[in-house]
Amino acid sequence: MGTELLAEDPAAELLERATQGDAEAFAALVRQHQRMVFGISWHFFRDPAVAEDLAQDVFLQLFQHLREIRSESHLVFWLRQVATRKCIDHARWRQRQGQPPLDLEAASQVAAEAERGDSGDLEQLRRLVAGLPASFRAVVTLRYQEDLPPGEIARVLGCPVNSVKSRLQRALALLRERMKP
Amino acid sequence: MEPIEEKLNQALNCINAPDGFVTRVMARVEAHAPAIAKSFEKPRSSWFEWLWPWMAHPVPVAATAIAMLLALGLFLGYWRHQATPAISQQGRIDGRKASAELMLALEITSSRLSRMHVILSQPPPTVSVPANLIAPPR
Repeated sequence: MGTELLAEDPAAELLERATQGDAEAFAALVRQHQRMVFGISWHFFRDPAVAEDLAQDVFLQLFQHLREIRSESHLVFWLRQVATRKCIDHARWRQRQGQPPLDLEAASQVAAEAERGDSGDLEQLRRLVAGLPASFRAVVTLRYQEDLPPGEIARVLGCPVNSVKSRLQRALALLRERMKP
Repeated sequence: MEPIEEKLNQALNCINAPDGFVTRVMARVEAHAPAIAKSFEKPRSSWFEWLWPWMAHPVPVAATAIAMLLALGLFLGYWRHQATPAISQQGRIDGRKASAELMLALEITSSRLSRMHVILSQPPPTVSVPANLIAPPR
């Protein structure tokens, strides 16, 4: 019966094979989820090297914890959670190291890009998101990249739903304010 | 939905990782694989390693454990049964010795009491006074 279920669900079969040590299956899993993981870290830092390093770390950690993954949906939840937490930790580490906050860099380029029309507007918004405080960035990325409702974001971040809602509101207020011409 | 939210929906989308990303991830995984394999094995302590194969078959292991406990119980019962007479024999010897000592003490006490009884039951001795020592009446 188990074999029939596996045959009907290719994602579950792939996960099962990867758990049993099949490198090809694991590579397929990485290929399948790299857009989501890389997207989260890219929108967090807008730095290709940092984003790739973090995304690689996430998949390496996945390889170490494959036995704990129970299903495809659990895998997606796990990847979102680990990617977001790694991004928050890295952002806080950068702050402790005294590295320049990204929003200052973004602010200097906002005016030039705003003139490019819609795409410039979106690019400006992406830069402004990358300049938000780490906890706001996490909420905004999960809400608008992953289309998660506040309750699901709260599960991923391990915090109350009301905190998520309030962070979201404050982040939107900050973005609106910074978007003003 | 507010205009800024619509813009965020358009702006924040999933992005493909740079070319060769999967290959680089797999290279890191392969580099770490032996260490990971070791880390899976390491946490087992020696008793856990010994116990682990047994835990794969819980029913036969439980049956064997129950049988071993029963055998141990039977052995302990038999040992106790064998050991009890030896203990009671020694007790009996000590008891007899104590009883003999008690009898001896009682006999001694009894003989002393008998002698005292004989002495007390004899009439007091009569004393004869010479006549010249008795003063004549005036």
